[in-house]
Amino acid sequence: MQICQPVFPGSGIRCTEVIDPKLHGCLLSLHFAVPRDARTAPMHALLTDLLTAASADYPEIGALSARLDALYAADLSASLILCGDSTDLHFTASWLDDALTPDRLPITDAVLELVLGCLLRPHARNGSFDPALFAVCRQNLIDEIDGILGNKREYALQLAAETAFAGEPAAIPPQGDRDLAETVTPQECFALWQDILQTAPIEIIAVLPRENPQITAALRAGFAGIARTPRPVTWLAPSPCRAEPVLAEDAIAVSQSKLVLVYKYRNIPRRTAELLTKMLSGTGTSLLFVNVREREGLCYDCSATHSALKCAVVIECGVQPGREQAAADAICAQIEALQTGDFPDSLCEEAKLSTEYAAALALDSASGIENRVAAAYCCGETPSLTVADSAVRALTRADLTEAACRLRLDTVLMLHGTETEANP
Amino acid sequence: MTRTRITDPLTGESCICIREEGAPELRIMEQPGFHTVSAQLGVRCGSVCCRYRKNGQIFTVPAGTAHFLEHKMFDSPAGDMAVRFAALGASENAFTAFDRTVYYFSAQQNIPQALRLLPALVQTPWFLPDRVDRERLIIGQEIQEYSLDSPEDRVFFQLLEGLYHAHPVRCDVAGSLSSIAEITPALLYQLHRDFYRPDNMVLCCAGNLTEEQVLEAAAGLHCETAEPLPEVLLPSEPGTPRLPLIRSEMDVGKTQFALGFKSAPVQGTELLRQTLLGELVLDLLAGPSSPFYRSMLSQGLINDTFATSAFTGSSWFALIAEGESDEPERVREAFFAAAADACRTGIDEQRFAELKAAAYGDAVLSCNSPAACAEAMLDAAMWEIDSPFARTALLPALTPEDACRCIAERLMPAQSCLSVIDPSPAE
Repeated sequence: MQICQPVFPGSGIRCTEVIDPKLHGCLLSLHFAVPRDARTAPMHALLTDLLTAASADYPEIGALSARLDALYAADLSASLILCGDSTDLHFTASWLDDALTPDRLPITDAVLELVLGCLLRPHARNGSFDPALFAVCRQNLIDEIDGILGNKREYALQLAAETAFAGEPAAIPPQGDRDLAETVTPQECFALWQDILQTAPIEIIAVLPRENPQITAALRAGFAGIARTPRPVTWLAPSPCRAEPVLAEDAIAVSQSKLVLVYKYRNIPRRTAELLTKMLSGTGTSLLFVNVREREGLCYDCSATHSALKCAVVIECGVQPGREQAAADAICAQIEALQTGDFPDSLCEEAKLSTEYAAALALDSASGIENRVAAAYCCGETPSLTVADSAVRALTRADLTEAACRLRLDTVLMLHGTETEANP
Repeated sequence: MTRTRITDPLTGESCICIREEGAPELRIMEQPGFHTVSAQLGVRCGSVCCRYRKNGQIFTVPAGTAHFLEHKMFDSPAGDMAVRFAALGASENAFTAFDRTVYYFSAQQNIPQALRLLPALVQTPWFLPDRVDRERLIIGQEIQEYSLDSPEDRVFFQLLEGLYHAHPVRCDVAGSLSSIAEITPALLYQLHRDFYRPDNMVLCCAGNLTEEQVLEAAAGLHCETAEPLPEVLLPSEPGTPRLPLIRSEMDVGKTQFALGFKSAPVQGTELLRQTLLGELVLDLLAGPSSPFYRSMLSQGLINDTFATSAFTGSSWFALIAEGESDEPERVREAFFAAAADACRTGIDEQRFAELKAAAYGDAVLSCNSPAACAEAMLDAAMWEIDSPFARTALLPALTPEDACRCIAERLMPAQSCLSVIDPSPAE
C-alpha cells in the first residue's frame, strides 16, 4: 500500500492517491469544505440529491442510474458530514476495477466522465437547476426532515445537539430547517453550488488497486476552467461548557425512553479523548457495556462517541420509562470511575488493542482507507497508513485519569416514552 | 475427511472447503494481503427452530428462544467470553436470524488464540437463573427499541404477519415481551443440547490467516453423539397470503409501507438462482430507472426511501417493495400494473442485460474484505451451496424468459399483502 500526492495545480485543491493492489474496485471522493449556517444547510442537503440524480448529459431521472448499472454497478453518491461548525459536502464514486470486468472493459474513463458531468455540468439552465428535478429533490428532503421522527435515537441525538451546542452552527440539524427548505429556490441552490465550486477548499482522495494517471489528469482538466478563490474553513470549533449542566426533557409516543448525555472538555489531546471514549464503549469490557448494560440491565445498547472537532463526548442509550434517572446516574458513575482511576489496567490495554484493530480494519477496505485519510486532514494531520500508533501506545493510566478529570457534564436530554402498554 | 478448493476464475480468490463426519464444515479463504481476519461460526438454529422432533418426541420453545440463547452463550463458568476476546484485541459479536445463529469475531492480532475461543464460546452453556432474568431485561429493551419503536422493523414484521398464516418466520426473531417471559434456563439448555452440535455448525474464516490455524482451532469441535439431528417442524403454509392489507399507527412523520409477494420456496442452488432473479426483476419493474419509479416519483407518490429486496430462505420466499407514501394503495396498484404489463408485452431486454452487469459488479465489489468473504461463505454453506462465488457464475445464464416467468409466478396481485404504518393522529 502506498500513498502519494500528485501535484494539482489548482488553488485550494489537494489530491491524495492511495494504491492498494488487494482492492477489487476504485473509489474517488471529493470533499468540499463549506461553512455551516441555517440558510445554506437545507441547500447543502439538496445539493447532495440534485448533483447525483441527474446531469446535463443524463437529464431524465433514472437515466443516470441506468448508465451506472451498465458500468457494472458503478456508484455515485453524496452526503453531508458535520465537522465541528462546518460541513463536509462529500461526493463519492466507486466502480469495479477495469481488469475485473468480464471483457476487461475500460470503464474508468466512463465513470470519470459521469462524475465530472454531474459536478460541473449539472441538470441546469439559465442559472437555475431544472425545476422538475428540484421539486422532486425538495420533496425528498422534506420527507427526510419529517422522517427523523421515526428514528427516535437519531431524533434524541439531534435534540441533544440543539441544546448542547445552542447558538453554534453545530446545533443546526443536518438537513436544515423544514420551513427554510420549503422556501429555497432552484436559482439560489444553483448560485450556491457555483460559489462552492469557486470558493470551497477541496480534498480529492482516490483509492485504487493500481496507479492510474488518467484519473488525476481528468480531474485537473475538469477543474481547470474554474476561477477559484478558496475561503479557508476552520474545522476545530470547541463548544463552551456550561457552568452547570442543563436538563432538557420531553415526551415521545413510543415505548422506550431515550437518554443522551453530552460531556465537553478542553485540552485533551485527540488520541487521549478517543481512548477514553473506547474505554467507555466499543469493546466487551468497556465500562458502559459491563456496568450499565450487563450489571444493571438498564439498556440494550449504551454507546459513546467522540467529536474531536467540538471537543465533546456524547453518550446515548434507550431505557425503560421510569429508569431514565437510574441510567443517567449509572452513566455518570462510569465517568467518575475514569476520573478517579477506578478501572483495571486491562481496560486501558484492551482499549489500545481495540484502537489498533480499528486502524487495521480501516486499511482493509477502500472506504475505510478513504475515511482515514479524510479524517486525518479534518484534524489537521498527515494521513498515515500504519496500524500501530505510538502516541496511543504511550498513554498511561495517569494520562487517562488526568484527562478524564477535564470532562464536564454539559447537557442531559431525556425523552420519556409514553406508550405504556408494551412495558413489562 | 474431504478437502476441496474452489477458485473464482474472475478474481482469483479461492475457498478451501473441508468436510468431516461429526465435525463442523470448514470454509477458508486465505487472503495474506489483508490486515485482519474475520471468523464466523454459524449454527443452524434460528428463530424458526421453535418446534422440532428429536428421537420421535416433539419439542416446542417460545418465540425468541434462539435469540435469547445467543445472548446467554457469552456467559461461561470462567466469566464473560467477551472479556476474553477483548483481551486479545478481537472484536466479537453474534446475531440470530430466521435460520441461523452466528458468532463471529474480527481481529488483527492473536489470531490462533481468538480462533480457539470461538468453539469454546458455543460449547459451554452456563445459564444461571439470576443472569437469565437480567438478560430478560436487556432483551426487553432490545425488543422495545427495534420491534416496537422502529417503524422500519414494525412495517416489515407486520408484512410477514400478513403474508404468512402459520410459518414461524412471521414472528420477530427476538420474540415478544410476553414470549421471552416464558424462557427458562432449562429451555436454553434444551435448545443448546439439541442444536449446538458440531455437525450442525459451519466455521467460515477469511483474511490474513492459514488453513492450519483454522484446522487447529476446530480440532476440538467433534460430535459426541451419533443421534440424528433434530428435524425442524414447520406447519403447513397456504400458498396465498393471510391478509391482503394490514395496517397500524405509530408516531412517524410519513406513512410507511411494505408491499410483499409471497411465493413457493425453493432450496439449494435454485434458491440462490431464484433470489437473483427476484432481485433483478424487482429492479427491472421498480428500480430507479424503471418507468414505474419515475412516474411514482414525479407524482410525489414515493420518495427516495423506496427500495426493493428479496427476503428468501429455504422455507420462505417473498419479494418486497417498501418506502414512504401518502397513498400506498396507489403505489400498489401501479406496481400491479407494471408487473401485468411486463407479463403481457415482455421485458426490456437491454435493461435486463444492464441489471445483470450491475449484479455482477455488486457481487465482485462486495466480496472484497475478510468480513464480506466470510459472510459470503457462510451464506452459501447455510443454503447448501458449495461455491461462495456462485452468484457471478449463475448470472450469465439468466435469460429474459426466466425473468418473465419469475414475474408471472412470484409477483401476482393474489400473492400480495400491503403492510402500512400510518402516522398517529395528532393529539
